[in-house]
Amino acid sequence: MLEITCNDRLGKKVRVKCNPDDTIGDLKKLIAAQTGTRADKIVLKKWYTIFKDHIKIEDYEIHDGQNLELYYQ
Amino acid sequence: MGSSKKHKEKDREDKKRKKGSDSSKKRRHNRSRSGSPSPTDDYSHRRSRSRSTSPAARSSRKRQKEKRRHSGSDDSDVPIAKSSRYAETKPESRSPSPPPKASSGDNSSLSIVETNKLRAKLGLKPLQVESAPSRAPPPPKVQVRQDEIEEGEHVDFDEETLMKIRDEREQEAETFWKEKQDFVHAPAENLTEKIKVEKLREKIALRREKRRLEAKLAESKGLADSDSDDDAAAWVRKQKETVQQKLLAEKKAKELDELDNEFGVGELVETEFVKQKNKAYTDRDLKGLKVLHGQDRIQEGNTVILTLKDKDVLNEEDDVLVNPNMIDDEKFEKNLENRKLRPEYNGYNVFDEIEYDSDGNLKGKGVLGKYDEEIEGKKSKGSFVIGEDTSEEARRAKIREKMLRSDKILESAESTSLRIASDFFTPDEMVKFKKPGKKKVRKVRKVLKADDLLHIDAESHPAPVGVISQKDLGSRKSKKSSGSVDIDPKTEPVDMEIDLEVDDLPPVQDIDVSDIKLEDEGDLDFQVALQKARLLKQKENLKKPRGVNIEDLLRSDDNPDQSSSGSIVLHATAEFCRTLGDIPRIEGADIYGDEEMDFEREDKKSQIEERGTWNEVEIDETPVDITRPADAEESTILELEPDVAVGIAGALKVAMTKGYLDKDMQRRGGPSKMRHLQAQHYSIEDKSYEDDKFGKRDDRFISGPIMEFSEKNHYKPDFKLEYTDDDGKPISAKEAFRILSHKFHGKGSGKNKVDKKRRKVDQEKLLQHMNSTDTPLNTLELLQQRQKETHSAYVVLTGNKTAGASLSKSKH
Repeated sequence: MLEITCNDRLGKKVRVKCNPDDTIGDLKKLIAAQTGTRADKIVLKKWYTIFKDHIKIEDYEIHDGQNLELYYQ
Repeated sequence: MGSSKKHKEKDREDKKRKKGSDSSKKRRHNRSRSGSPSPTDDYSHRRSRSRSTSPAARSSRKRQKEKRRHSGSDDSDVPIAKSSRYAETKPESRSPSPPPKASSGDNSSLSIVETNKLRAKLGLKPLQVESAPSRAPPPPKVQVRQDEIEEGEHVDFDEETLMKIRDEREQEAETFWKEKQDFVHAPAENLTEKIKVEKLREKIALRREKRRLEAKLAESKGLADSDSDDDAAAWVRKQKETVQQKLLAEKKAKELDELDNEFGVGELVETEFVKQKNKAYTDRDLKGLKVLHGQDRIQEGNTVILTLKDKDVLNEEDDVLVNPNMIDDEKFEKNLENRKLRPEYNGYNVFDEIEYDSDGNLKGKGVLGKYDEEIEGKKSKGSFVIGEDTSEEARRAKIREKMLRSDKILESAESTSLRIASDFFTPDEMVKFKKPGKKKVRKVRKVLKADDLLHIDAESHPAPVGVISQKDLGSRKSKKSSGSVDIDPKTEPVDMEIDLEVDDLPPVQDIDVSDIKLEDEGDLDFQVALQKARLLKQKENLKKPRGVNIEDLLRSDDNPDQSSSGSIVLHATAEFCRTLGDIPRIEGADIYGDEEMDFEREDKKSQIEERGTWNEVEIDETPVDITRPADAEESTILELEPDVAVGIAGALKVAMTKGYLDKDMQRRGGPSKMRHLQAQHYSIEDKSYEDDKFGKRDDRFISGPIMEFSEKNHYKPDFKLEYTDDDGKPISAKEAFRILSHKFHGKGSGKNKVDKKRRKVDQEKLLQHMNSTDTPLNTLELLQQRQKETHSAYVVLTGNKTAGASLSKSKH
C-alpha cells in the first residue's frame, strides 16, 4: 500500500491510499470518490508527464508519499 | 521540505493563537524557541512537556498532532508511522478524538478502512498492507485505533488491560472482515470487452451471410464450369446428331425442289433473281450523297469503301460518306501542317498570295484568319457530291466564268505603257503636286540697317554723284570687277575731294544692305583692306596730275572719325565699342580698334603699295638710345609730389592728396548726363537668332502665359554704392567687406591691427589738416619755436634727456 498526495493548487489536496498495482484509472476513481470530482475529468501529472489511465502506478514508479499534480480537463 | 515544515509551524502557531490565553505560557515558550533549527527537537520537547500540562492544553496539542499525522509529511512508511502512533496513543488516549472529517478540508485523507470500503464499492481489490495476511490485518488495527480514539474517555491503562483491549478489538475486526468476505465484487462492466463481443458477433453474422450466398451461387453453373459433354463420347454423339440433322435437311430440300419443279415455281424464282441483278447499285443510287474527302484522294480505278459517318441520333443532317483510312490520312496531313513554322504569325506577309476559294471568290483575309480553323472547325477542303460534275476542268471553267462576271481581278500585265522617266513634272502632274506651304518668314528683331539711315539722310542730303556703287558688296568676285570697272579715274578726283569733305555724312545710298553679310567679319575686314588699298592707289594716281595735298590727305586720314571708304562699316569691334558708349573716351583713341589704324598708317608709310591681301609687318629699326637717362618713374621709388608750378592739373593733384578736394567728385552723374549724345536708332543686332529654332525646344518647358518682358529702355539709374564705418566716415569696398566679414564670423581683428589702423587713420587726418609747409607732426613749427626760445639758429639734437624733453610735442 502506498499513499499519494494529489494537489491542484486551488484548494484541493488529497492523500490517497492505493496499491502499487492499481492503474492510474483506479487511482483517479479513488481521488474522485474523495474529492467529488468526476474521475474522467481528472488529469494527473508530474511535471510534464501526463499519466495514462491504463498504466499501473508501479510502472510509473510512483512511490509512497509522492506528490502528483492534479488537473482537470 | 524545510520550507514546508516552516509553513506547518506557522500554521500551528496560528492555531495556537486562536486557542486563547490558556496556552499563552506555552506560546511564550515557543516564541522563545522560535529560532530552533530542528523540528524533531521541537517535537520531542513538546512531547515531553505534554504530560505535565493541563488537560486543555493537552487536548489542543493532541489535535495538532492528529493533524500532523494526517499531513503525513514526516512519516512516509506506514508501519513505522503505525508504531509511532501506537506509542503516542498511550499518553494521548485521554484527549478527545478530533472529528474525522475535520482534516479533510484541504488535505483530505481516508483511513485504510474507509479506503477499502471505497475500493470495494469501486470494484477494486482491497489494499494490500505489508506484514499482514491477504485479508489485511492493518485495517483492523487501524480500526482499533479509531475505536480507541472514539472511546477516548479512559483515563489510564496499564499494559494488561491494553493488551486485552487490543485482542478484543482484533477479534472484532476479524469478525468484521469475515462479514466483509460476503461482499461479492460486482466487476465493472468492461467497455472494451463489450465492444469486442459486439464486433465478434457482427463478424459471425457476416460470415454466416456469406456462406449462405456462396451456397446459393454454387447451385448455378459458371462459365468455366464443365458441361455435361465433358467426355469425348458425349461430344461424338452430339456431332453425329448434327450430321444426321443436316442430311435430313438436305433430303427435305430436295424433296421440296422436286415439288417446285413439278409446279413450275423454279422459273419464277429465277426471273426474279435476274431482275434483282439488273438493279445494279450505281452512282445514280447514291446521287446527292456527300463524300467528305477530296476527289484527288480517290484514285481512278481503285475501289474505296465508304461508310456512313457516325452522327447523333437526333442530328437532322444528311448522311455523309467517309473512309476511315482517309480520315487518318487527313489527320496526319494536318499534323504535318501544324508542325511547320507558319509565317502567318509574323504579321503582314508581303509574299502572301491572294487566295481564292474553290469558287474563285477572293478570300478575304481576316485579321486573325489563322484562327478561323480552330474556331469554326476545319472546312472540308475537298468534299464532293456524288453525281455532280466534279472534274477539275469543270471547276476551272467555273472559276473563269465567275471572274469574268465580276471582272474584279482579271488584269493584263501590259496595261501601263513604258515611259522614259523625266525629272520634270508634266503639267497635269503639276496640278496634282501640292506646293509646299510658304515657309514662315522669321521675324528678325529690329536691327539698325543702312536703310534706316538712308531714310533719315536722303531727305537732307542728296546722294553724292560719284560714290562708288556697292551693290554687290556680298560677293567677292563681283567686288573685284566693280573695283576695276566702276572706278573711273576721270570721275574720281571730284569725288575724292567730296569724299574727304563730306566724310561725316553717311554717303552711300544705294547699298543693298540685305546683301551685306554682317556676321562675316573676316570677309569685311578683307573688303575694308581692299577698299583702302584701292583708294590709296587712286590717290597715288591723282597725286601727280592734280597735285592734291597729300599732307592734307594724310591728316584727314589720321582723323579717327573718318571712315576711309565713305560708307558705314558695321563690324563686331565697332559695335562692341558702341556698347561701351558710356566709357569716357580717351583723347585721340581709335574707336575702331588699333589694328586698323596701324594698318592705315602702315599703308601710308609704305607709300601705298598694294600687296593683295598680305601685308608686311614693319620692323622697328630705330636704334635704341642707350645714353638716354632712365625714366623718371623707374628711378623714383617714392611718389613724387606733383609740381604745383606746372599747371592746374598739378595743383589739383596736390589738392587731392592733401584732402582739399573730394576725390569722388568727378565721377558724379557720368552716363546719365551724356544721354542726349547717345545714338538714337541704335540697337544691337541679335546674332543668336540662328539658334532660335533650337531655342524653341526650350519653350515647351516654359510654355504658358507669361508676362512679356518689356525692357526699360529709358531707365538708366545713377547710383553709387557707398560704405561708411561706425563714425560715418566713408570707407572703401575692401574695408567694408572686412567689416562685414568680421561681423559674420563674430571675430574682429587683433588689438595690434586695430591700433595700427587707428594710427593710420589718425595720420591721414593729420596729413589732411597739416600745414602745407610743415611735416605732419608739426616738427618744423616746433623747431622754429625752439629756435625762437633759444635765440639760436640751430637745435641741439643730442641724446641728452634734458635736450630731448625740450623738443617734445606741444599740445594744441
